[in-house]
Amino acid sequence: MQPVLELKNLSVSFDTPYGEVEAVRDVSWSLNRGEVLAVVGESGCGKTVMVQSVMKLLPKNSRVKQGQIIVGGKDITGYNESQMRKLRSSVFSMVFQDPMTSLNPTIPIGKQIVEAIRMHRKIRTEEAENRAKELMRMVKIEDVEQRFHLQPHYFSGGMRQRCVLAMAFASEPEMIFADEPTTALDVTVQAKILRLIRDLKEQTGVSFVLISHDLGVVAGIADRVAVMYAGKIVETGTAEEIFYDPRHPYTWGLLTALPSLAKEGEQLRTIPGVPPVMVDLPKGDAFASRNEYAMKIDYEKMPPVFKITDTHYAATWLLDERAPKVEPPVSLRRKGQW
Amino acid sequence: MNMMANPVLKVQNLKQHFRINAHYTVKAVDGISFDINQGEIFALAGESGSGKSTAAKTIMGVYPPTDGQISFLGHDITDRKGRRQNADLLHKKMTIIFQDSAAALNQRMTVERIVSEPLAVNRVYREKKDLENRVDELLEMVGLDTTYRKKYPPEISGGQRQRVAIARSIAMKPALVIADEPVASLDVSIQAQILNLFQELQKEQGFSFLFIAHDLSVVRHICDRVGVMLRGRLVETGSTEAIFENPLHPYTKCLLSAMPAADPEYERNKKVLEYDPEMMPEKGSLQETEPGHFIYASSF
Repeated sequence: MQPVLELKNLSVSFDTPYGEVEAVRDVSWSLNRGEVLAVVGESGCGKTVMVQSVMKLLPKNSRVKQGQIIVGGKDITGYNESQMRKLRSSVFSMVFQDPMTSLNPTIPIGKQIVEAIRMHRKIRTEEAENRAKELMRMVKIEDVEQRFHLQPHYFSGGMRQRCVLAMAFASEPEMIFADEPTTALDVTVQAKILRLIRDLKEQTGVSFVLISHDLGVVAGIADRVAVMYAGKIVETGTAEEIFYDPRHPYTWGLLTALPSLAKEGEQLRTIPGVPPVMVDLPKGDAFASRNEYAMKIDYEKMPPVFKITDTHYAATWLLDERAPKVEPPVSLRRKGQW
Repeated sequence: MNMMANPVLKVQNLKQHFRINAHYTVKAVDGISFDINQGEIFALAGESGSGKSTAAKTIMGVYPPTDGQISFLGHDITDRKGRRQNADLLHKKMTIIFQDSAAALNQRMTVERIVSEPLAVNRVYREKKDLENRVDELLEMVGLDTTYRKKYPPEISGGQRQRVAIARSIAMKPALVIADEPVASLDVSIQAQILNLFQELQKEQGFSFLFIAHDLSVVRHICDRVGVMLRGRLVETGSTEAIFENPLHPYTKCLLSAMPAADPEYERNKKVLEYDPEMMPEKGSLQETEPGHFIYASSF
């Protein structure tokens, strides 16, 4: 099956007063139809830049340094703004962390969704209104007839995020990029929105790229997970592989840093230090200085990507056959507990 | 040891109502009571809008409470008069850490000035040398080396800024530290570092801790006792173990079921419980169901 989106060796860099910053480095992945891919990493690791480079929403001082972006079999790397506009209204949609960045506070919700629909398809207002109400029902907003005419400030945070999701669906996209869609929400609301995303995916067959800094949040809805560090994808695999059989020490770190995985009375295992400054990346593996399992070679040479299974890949020297055998932290071996 | 003997902070029937207009009053905090004992970490947990931050701010003295009583180390600090009389004690022994460290720290001050300010204001040391040694000691305690002394807050990362805020807050050897969502805006790995730091410092210094958080996994990890808030009221209080292993109030159960877990199989099959806040009785109080474990129920 042909993937809906494919990145091949993509590198994106920014020209800054401090020199060139390569925010995304040699990233390759593909997204299949009806799949949720979660991209996880700390802030500043390049996850947002990677997604925005696909949609070409990056500022002028950035450029795609190398690699290809392939959408439905077509290479769109060199597309200009007008070609991208067409794609953005039919292929991609985006949902941001704060729903109010996408909503106009003065215009009734219904009208905003209608606007999004009519940007995409030239249909009569009535027809568009019906479609908008249908979308609002799809994202499980109750009392649609009344709420249709209300401005966003009448809605709670979770409800606003539902409206933004409805708008994202207005253009009947093939894939939706959701950048930390639940970070600003309460846990109970977050659980509902995540469930909604999963249901929508199953109903409509839309693919999602979900960006998050928290591995715990994506566990329930991700089909595949890509872990990013300093602009590189260090490990990728199915949700089961990443959560039950992680291989990269950085993934171990992200998982063991979650308070819910720690045993009572135990200190949290942390990833020491802070993410590197992207201006002046160290030689070798960028993670080496924070990696308690780092070997000499980590400081000298970037690790290649090792294949573990057909879907599971990790870039760490620990997987080299010459490396000593290292067991992952104990708390990761307790499957089925939280 | 009698735990109730000498609480560091005693809050009784605290109310904070905001009058919006003649017809509408927001009851942000509506009659909560709790104690924090010596060396204890107490968490106020709840979703946004539950009144946990307002409760903390009222205790800090940002606004005088509508009703109720607050006493700190045995001194009544409910109203302005009480606060004025105990101003010296409050300034030295109660400190605050906020969520947004960028806003909490003065951008025009170096780290060393920020940390030394409370010590200088309270004239703790006569010799400049002693003050500098203490600043070095504090920075070391929070895991910052001396190269950070001359830096300004915008030059350092969020986690490090939060460390500076912590160093400043423990400078006066406080009896109570109030922390309002201190790790909510940090990355998971940095969050873990800061949580460990809190645990270490608390063990070393023995201060009591009022920890405001919405993330229950964080609460579970570091707190001794928890109070769950909903609509300005405490719906359940008890030891961390009691709350997490044996939650009794339906709202607590609902919150716990929504906690995300790093386990795909569990997450896909889990059922998130629902609780309608309207079901909470208008008139009620905390009632003890087992020793030290209280839930909110209607009082008839």
